Amino acid sequence: MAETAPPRQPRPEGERGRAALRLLKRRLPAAELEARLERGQWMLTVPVERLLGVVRALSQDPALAYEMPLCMTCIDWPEREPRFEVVYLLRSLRLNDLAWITLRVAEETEVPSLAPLLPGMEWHERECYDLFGIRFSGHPNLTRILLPDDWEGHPLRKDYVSFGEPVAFTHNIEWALSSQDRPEYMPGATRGAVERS
Amino acid sequence: MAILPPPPGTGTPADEIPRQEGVPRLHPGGEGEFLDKIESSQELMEINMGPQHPSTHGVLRLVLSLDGERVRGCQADIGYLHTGFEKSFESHTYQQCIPLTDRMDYLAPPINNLGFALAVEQLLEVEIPPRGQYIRVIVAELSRIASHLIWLGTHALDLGATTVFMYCWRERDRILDILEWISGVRMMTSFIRVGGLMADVPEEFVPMVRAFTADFPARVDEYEGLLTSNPIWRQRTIGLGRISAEEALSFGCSGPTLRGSGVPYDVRRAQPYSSYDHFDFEVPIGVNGDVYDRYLIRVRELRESCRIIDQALDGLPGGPTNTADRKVTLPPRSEIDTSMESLIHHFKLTTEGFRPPPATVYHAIESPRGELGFLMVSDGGNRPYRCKVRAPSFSNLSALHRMVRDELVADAVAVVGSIDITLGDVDR
Repeated sequence: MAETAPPRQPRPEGERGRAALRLLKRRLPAAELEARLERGQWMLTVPVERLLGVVRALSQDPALAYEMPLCMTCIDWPEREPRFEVVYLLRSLRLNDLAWITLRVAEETEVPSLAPLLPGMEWHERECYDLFGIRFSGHPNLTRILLPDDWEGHPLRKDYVSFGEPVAFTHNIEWALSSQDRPEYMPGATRGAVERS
Repeated sequence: MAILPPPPGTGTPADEIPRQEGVPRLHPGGEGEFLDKIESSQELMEINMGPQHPSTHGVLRLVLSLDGERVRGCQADIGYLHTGFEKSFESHTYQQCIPLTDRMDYLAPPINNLGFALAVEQLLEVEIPPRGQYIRVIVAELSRIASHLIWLGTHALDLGATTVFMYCWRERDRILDILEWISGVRMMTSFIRVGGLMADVPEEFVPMVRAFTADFPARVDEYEGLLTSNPIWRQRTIGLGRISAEEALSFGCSGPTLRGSGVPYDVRRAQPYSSYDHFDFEVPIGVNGDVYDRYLIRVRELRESCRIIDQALDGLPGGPTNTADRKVTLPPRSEIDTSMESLIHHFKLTTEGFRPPPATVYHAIESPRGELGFLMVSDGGNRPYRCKVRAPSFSNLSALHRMVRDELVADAVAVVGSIDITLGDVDR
């Protein structure tokens, strides 16, 4: 190491995922592939029914070898149609590159499971089912993984109320407390006034 | 790239491990389902290991199917430590999320801070000054050493070597002293913040770290003297818990678990962040993918981390540690008295934080356990719209049933220890 720190090299701003984009452009009709470049990463959106074929091509092509299943997850956009964005991240050690595959799915859509193809996805898909309620067809063991089996709801959905308990104030007491828990007299009322009247 | 010589007496490389007839290679029916394809000598017995078991290093429950003393199937039951961090992130401002990240992988909190901060900085398109980057590297490598020391101590303790445990905690305590000196907190430091650091380091920091790195290589020799060529240690670990490079990759393993099988993938080298490209260090890899190789790799990494710290101290630049962008970091205290602008920035940042432009990014760093990634979605608000944590322990643990297959039940303890999981990281 030199006495003084060398000047910082600018981050090599290559476009990540370009090789994946090139492959999918060859394989898919143009109408089915949607690609956008965001912060140096190509994000590729494909139709749900193409997912298995796309991932098989990406992971088994010897020149690309996007074979390391980093993770998969979901992003909930309640106001959009369809509602969920399912994201798969695949890493290629050969190209030192990251492929970003996105699906747009509705709540009732079944997404084909990648677990038979990439066993590392099995737990990630269970997590996605657990926290978002996305269903995967062909998954060997689609059960909850982080939450107890009898849990109700899928907590990472935006419409899931995750915490907080009702605190009773005078303006919301009807909502916060059931009738037998409500105090007999509201603050400000004169004690005994009800009986007298 | 250093390649470790194969330790003498270790059998075949992981790729050539003979596979049991009829056992399919890739997981057709979920973990544990290969059981019925094996002709068992007797009825299988299912036993629980954990969740209250000292050598699962947290609350992990393993359901082991035993054929005599051989493990034929293993299902991991996780989630006992699920804290819902990803949900909590969505209701905290970006800066408020930093203390939450501390508590995910609680053995290396500054590294979690770093991963989160880098992802948000990528959203903001902010780069912090060289001094801040170097101090981040020093703090991250110190906590990597601390994390590896806990792993080494407890892993050795699991296998009956109690002395190493005491030695490891002695050195780790010195690291915690340093962290306390710079941040006021021993473990959950929250020292690395979005836009830089909590504060510049005090002047005693450099001599303290120098004193530590001067002693430390000799201490690693001490651990190695107790373990590396110890015949009991070698018998317990060599050839145990093997996983081939191909299989480790297909499960998404990373870190020493993947490098033990001979894949030289280290995020610090592959996608350098925070000035790691300025330092000269080696990425040790193994040959056999067994427990012993993973042990050797982590011990080597202790020395490499020490080298990185030395280089960072040698080249530690002066200047500010935080970005000059006042929309992201707090102004210096002295400016608040004299500048209206600064007062406004201070007020805005402490009350509502900053608002990154709408974007989606993924940023990965090398944690002691492997690739720790943050997938961050901003909708233009002051809180993350969605933050997914790609936890290395989660993927590494999902390959466990492959590593313990056909091993003795007593060795399952060694295998679980060797993949170095933190349950806070698995369950989040």
